[in-house]
Amino acid sequence: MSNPQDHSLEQILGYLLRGGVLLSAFILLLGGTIYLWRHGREPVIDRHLFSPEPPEYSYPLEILRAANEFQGRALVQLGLLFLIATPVMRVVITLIIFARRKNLIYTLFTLIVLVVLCVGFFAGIVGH
Amino acid sequence: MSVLVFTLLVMVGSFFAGFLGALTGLGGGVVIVPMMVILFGVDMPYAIGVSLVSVIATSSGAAASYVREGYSNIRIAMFLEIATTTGGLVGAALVALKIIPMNALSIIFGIVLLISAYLASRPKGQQQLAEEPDKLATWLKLDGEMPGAQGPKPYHVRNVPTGFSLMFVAGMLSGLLGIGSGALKVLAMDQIMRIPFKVSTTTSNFMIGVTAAASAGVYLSRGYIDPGLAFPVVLGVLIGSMLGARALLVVQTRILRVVFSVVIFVLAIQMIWKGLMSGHS
Repeated sequence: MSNPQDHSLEQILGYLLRGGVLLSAFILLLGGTIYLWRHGREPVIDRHLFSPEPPEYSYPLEILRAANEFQGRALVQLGLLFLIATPVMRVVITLIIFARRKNLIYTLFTLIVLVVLCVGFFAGIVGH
Repeated sequence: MSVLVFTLLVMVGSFFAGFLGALTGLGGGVVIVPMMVILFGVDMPYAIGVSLVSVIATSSGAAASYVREGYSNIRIAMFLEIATTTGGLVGAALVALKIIPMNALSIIFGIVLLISAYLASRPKGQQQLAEEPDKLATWLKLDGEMPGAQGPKPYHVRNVPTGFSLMFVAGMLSGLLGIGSGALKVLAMDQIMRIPFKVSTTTSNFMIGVTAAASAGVYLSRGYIDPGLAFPVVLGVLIGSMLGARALLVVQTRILRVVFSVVIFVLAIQMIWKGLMSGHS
């Protein structure tokens, strides 16, 4: 059911997914290494009772700011942002595929999924 | 124990979780949470958040190859993702808004773990392919073709509303427990919707990442994901599952499956026990 144009888009999809994971893994490794370099010798944090992470590890804007200063853990969170964004980008490309095929109903379905994804992300931020 | 040693131990543990998860097809997610809670003494919310992002990593990496093989049905995936992502949001909300106490979550997790292990151990029998098209499926253009020995083989999709509802539940479990819910998704597609097994598994892999992303966004912005835990887990599981997928072609998996099933069983019982004994939520 796919024509040559869409086939190449699907190929891009495959590379995008792999690339997104690799990029994120690289940033995770970088951030993790910095974190261990600075804090590796400290006694491990007690995680028996959950308490939410501070803003610089949870709010995207704060993450970006802290990551810019090469804060290890913020870089890790940045890597996670890229990781979460990877399937979202996949949905965006799928949206383009369906729009190009002029498939109204599936463009709509894909849009709904995209909206749900955004709602989740922003609702999390707003609800603090 | 120092941060460095702890981190390395977590990475090694996650490596094995990813490796065995890929070998047995159960996924790393179901092992990560019990491993973190029981072995590393980490509180459940931390475990869920970290497991969820590791699920995105492994499924996105795997999904890349499935797209190119031509089995996954993007329309089915997109349509069902409406259900799974909404379910994922609901699941994450139930946790983030503290509607479900952690000890109840622990019990639910143990039960789901047992069911997943049982589902994974069943022989992969091919369900009878539907002979006739279904009106709703045809209207939604869900039917498709898959590569076959003598050219493309068409298939029909049935029981759309039931399948859709099951997908919502699968998504909700994913957001609630930090797992991929692949087993349930494949079950719903293969057994209920009569989608051919290979299409079901590849399409399910395709959907797992998006579903997890829906809840992961909530968890991250609400501070449920600890970076010090996330980075060894994600990296460990990634490497482990990559190697596990390769090993699948070489190793005799039957013995490992049995071992893994026993491990899963023990972990599940421990999760349920912990939930029953635990006082705080």
